[in-house]
Amino acid sequence: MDQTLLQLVDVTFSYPGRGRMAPVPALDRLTLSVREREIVGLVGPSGCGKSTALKLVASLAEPTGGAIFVPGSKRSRLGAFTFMPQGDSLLPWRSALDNASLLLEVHGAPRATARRQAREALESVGLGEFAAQLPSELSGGMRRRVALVRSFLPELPVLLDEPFGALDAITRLDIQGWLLRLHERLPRAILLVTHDVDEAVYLADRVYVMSPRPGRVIHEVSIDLGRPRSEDVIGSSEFAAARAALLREIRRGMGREAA
Amino acid sequence: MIARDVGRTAAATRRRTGPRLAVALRIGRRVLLPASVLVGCVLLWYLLILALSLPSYILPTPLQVLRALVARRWAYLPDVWTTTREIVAGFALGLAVGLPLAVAISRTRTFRDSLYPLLISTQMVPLFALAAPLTILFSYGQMTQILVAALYAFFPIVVTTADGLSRVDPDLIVPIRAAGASEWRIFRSIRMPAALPALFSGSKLAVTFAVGGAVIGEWIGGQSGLGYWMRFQNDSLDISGMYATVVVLTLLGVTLFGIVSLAEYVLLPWHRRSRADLGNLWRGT
Ligand SMILES: Nc1ncnc2c1ncn2[C@@H]1O[C@H](COP(=O)(O)OP(=O)(O)OP(=O)(O)O)[C@@H](O)[C@H]1O
Ligand SMILES: [Mg+2]
Repeated sequence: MDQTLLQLVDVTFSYPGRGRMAPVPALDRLTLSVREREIVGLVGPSGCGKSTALKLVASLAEPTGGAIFVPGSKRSRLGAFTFMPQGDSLLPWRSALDNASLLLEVHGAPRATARRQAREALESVGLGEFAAQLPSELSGGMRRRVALVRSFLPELPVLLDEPFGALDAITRLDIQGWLLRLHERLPRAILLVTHDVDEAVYLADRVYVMSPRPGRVIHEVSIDLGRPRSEDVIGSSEFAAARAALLREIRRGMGREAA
Repeated sequence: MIARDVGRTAAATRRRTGPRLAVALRIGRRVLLPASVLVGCVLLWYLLILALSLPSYILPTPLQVLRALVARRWAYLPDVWTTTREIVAGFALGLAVGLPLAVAISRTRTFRDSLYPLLISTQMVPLFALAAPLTILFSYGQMTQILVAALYAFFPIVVTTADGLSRVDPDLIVPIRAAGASEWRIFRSIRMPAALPALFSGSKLAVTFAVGGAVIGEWIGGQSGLGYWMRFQNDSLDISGMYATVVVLTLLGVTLFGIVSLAEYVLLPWHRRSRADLGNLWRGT
């Protein structure tokens, strides 16, 4: 059985209120886990606390209640994951290559080693010819790809916050397939935040459905579409069934909250 | 693939416009436009003299100034050299003092709250008031001029760089902070490079202000340099000559500004597109 790499148990979090305002509860007893090589989707309505959950895992904030376990790592959570926030956050002054090698460098790899590894990775996913380009010279889709390579290079679980947010539908589909191939090549565990139901079904092995704020897991759906997956899967009846089931759970979560 | 397509489309558009027309348009915009503005100013100068019938010991005509300029020609060079050294030294000193201050201000609230009012007040003291004691303190070297230039130069550097350092997009920092990077690493890899455009904006202001600072220093307590020479000409009622020296000084200031601007262009290739100053003159397309 694949090893569990991340476990959240009853994680609760509130943002401190401004001035005299009451604290803003963002997460309410969130429980989920991610295993080795697994792609886990986290879906829910806007503002339900998805980004907050990733921030807590990445140790950029501490939960007000509950616990986050990282069984594989003796270190603190800081440095145990790579985190790609909403937007690509490439450094405008670094070339695609030097952006891709950034996190390896932070993890202590010598510059030359990091760059060689990054170059090989870029070449292996068809980005070799863009290595010397600055981010401003790349299209939105290319920037995402470079940012994804950057996140996949350290051998750590990856936290992705709506990685394909502002892309057009065609580019998005392209890059989703590309991510699946990247994942086959560099099989990291992925916790993928999205509010796109199709995306969650296409990419994930399991999907957690969250309630509106304060977010809590209200359902877990297994996506049994097998791997490797290609774009053809999207037309299949299994895909349609998984999609319908997921949508039903999201609707139910929102309905129950409104009642 | 997509990036390449976009590039190709832009190139195609350029080809359609026709290279010769494009070059002509560019020369028109970059050379003729500023030249005609300059000519307009000179005409206005003439008109002013005619309209108010100003005598030449108050405002000489452009032609008189040009004659004075040509008459002295290379004799300006030693003074230009003196003033340039003072400006460069003052600018360097301003940078050396301004950068650490900017970092301190951007890092801690205490520094910001305690230092900022003091820094602002240094700019409120009329420098004529300071030049006299400085001159006496440092007798008759170039130190006075350098210090006055530095006093003018450091302020824009502090203000713009501190702003640049504290205005870094937090999303740029998040991935490397999550990777466990130290504050120093974040500063070195993200904050500092992100603040460089701001630092260059400050430096362009600083070098321009330093010209004024050095000249005031020379006017008050110098024995050479363009400011000293201007005062000499002013005292001997050689007003055309003094304006000619102002022209030389202007050329020096524009050159120094251009050098900083060029350095920015060369050192920050990623920032070229978003610039709105002389950097445009060197733009490739
Ligand atoms: N810094 C903050 N201070 C106070 N409240 C915040 C802060 N950041 C987020 N919130 C609140 O916490 C809740 C969860 O925010 P979060 O960004 O995690 O949502 P999300 O699920 O990622 O939303 P989206 O899908 O729109 O990205 C939101 O209701 C938001 O208003
Ligand atoms: Mg979010």
